[in-house]
Amino acid sequence: MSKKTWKDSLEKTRYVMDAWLLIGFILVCAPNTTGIVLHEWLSLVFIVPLIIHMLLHWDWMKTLPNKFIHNFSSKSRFNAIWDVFFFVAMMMVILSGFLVSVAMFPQLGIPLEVKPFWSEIHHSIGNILLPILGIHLALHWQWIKSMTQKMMAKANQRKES
Amino acid sequence: MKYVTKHWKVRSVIIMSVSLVVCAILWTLSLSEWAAEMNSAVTQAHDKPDISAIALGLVSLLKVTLMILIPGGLTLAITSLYKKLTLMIKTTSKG
Repeated sequence: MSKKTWKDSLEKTRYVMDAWLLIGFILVCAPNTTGIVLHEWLSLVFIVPLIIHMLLHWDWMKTLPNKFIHNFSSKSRFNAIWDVFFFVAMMMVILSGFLVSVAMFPQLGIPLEVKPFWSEIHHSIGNILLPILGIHLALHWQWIKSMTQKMMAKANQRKES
Repeated sequence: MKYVTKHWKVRSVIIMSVSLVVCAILWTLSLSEWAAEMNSAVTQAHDKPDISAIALGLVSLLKVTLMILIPGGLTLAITSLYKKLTLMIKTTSKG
């Protein structure tokens, strides 16, 4: 019998991928820690776990419009609105990030004139993304807590055997 | 990785297309008067803080962590308070 791993469970796959996404997000949001060059390249790579996050919630996204109107609780409705708001803000930061690139595009030989408008938008909304993420995590806190307990229990079990 | 790779090509194309449409709409903001005003305003260069690169990196990480944790903690506190209040109202109205 083959051993089951986290990859065999949707919830555990979500948990592991979300952990990577969170680590990536924190690194990307600290350009003074990574340096601007790494910040820009990491931001490009960050798009991959972001797409994976959405792929793993595909069914939720697909049923969202119908459920939103018909059978969502007020908490789920607020959560859905918050997620859409988070997505738009994220898009704004990614778009403005590309438009104020001082390392990646010049390294690729693409000339770019950085406009103060996009620079201001990138910094302001980039800072707003952090509390938006904090609230997003708090809204899923019960799931995070129970999954962490499950993953820890599994890890302890493996250590003992 | 069966959950990630399930129809991933079609789904990724849809996600990317929606994202590009959202970005295109957001880009139109740069054509607004607000953007023109910001672009024509004289920008002042930010002074570099007078601390070492390591300290600056650590402070930056700390800022990111706190800016995530504080609103998250406050949201948790507010939602648990809300739950307690609604439970209290329900029990008093029943009694």
